[in-house]
Amino acid sequence: MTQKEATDYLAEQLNRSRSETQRLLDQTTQVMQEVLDEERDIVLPGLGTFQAKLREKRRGFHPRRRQYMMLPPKRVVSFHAGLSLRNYVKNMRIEK
Amino acid sequence: MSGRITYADLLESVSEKTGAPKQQVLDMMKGIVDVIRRGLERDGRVVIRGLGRFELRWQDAHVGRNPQTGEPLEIPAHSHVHFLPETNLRRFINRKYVHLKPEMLPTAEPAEDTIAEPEPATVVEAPAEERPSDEDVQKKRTQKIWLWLIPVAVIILLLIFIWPRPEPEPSTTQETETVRQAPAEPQKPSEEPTLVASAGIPGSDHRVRAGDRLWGLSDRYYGSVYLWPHIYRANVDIISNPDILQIGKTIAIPPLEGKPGHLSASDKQSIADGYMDIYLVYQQMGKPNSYTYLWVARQLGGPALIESHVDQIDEQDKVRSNALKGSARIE
Repeated sequence: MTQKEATDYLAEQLNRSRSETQRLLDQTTQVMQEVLDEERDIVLPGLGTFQAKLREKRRGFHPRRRQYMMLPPKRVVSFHAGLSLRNYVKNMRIEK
Repeated sequence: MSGRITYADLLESVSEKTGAPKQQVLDMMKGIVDVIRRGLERDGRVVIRGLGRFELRWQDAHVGRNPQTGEPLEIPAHSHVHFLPETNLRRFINRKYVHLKPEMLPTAEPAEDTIAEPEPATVVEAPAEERPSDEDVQKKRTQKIWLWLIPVAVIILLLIFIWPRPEPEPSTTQETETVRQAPAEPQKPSEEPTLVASAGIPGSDHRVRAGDRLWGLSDRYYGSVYLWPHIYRANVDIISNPDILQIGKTIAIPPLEGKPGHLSASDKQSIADGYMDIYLVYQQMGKPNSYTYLWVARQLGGPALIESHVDQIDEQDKVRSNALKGSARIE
């Protein structure tokens, strides 16, 4: 499902115009981004947990140059599916 | 702030931001959850703008382990959700970290990075030019040197203006001084946690740990990377390849009579022998820059040292090392 299809579906569900839905959706995700930026976890019932964590600097290897390098710290956003979503998708096998 | 945001607080924040009533925001949230579930079911893949892509991935049946007891556990085939945050989200969340770039660390080859290649003494930009190995690394290095130079130059200029008597010389000499040190410096900081954690006492033994290199030990025990052949020489019987140290082995750190900058005559003699040994080993290994070690050995040990090894020294290396100018600056 592309993001356009997702918005269409949402608009239908919420019974609102496409543009209005898109605006609300964007603002919602923006708030979520800001919350993640404060390193607070977001738990959405029926879905799972979003987290932004700091990954410390670490040593990596540049295979081409055959040289070690120090990779800088960065933050990574992760999502862990909750139990209900895990059970929901458990038996779905979609051929691509 | 950290921890978890409650669902109610999240709805509150969104409602505040959008001006939409809470009920509507709640519907929106539920809608997002619903659309993700639906999309996964229909296509196995959903893209939500502002968050990223949710994707189903199939996992075949396999044997895992109970994380608590370590017991083997049959895990049946199943699908799981994989999430990939969108680029904008990654960028936003990392905006404070974007200026940080990966930094190349010195390799297990002390020769490449540490050794007094002929240039430091003579030409300022030479370290960058002479190294044929990697352009990128060089660029970064020269950039770094320039970044160093700019504040230094500004300070010097200020000093010149503020000082009553104009003295043009200090500026040039100081500038070259900083540059001379720079090539070795930039690689240091990243190694610091392991290397500088404890400055060692010469005369003791050292147990090799991961990441240890001869030049690093030299830096740590003597305060100068250039004295590593001194350590090598004291451990020839243990170390077959000076570029590689075996983890867990204990190597002796020989004492110095003087210290870097004020080495005694016998220190110098021993270091010269070390450089000669390194030259011979590197020559055997076919290292292209081995002759630079010969050059250092000659500077420290004089013609007598060369004479005593004359039958082992490659004629071409001798010519090439004689052609090198400048000083190794090991004093």
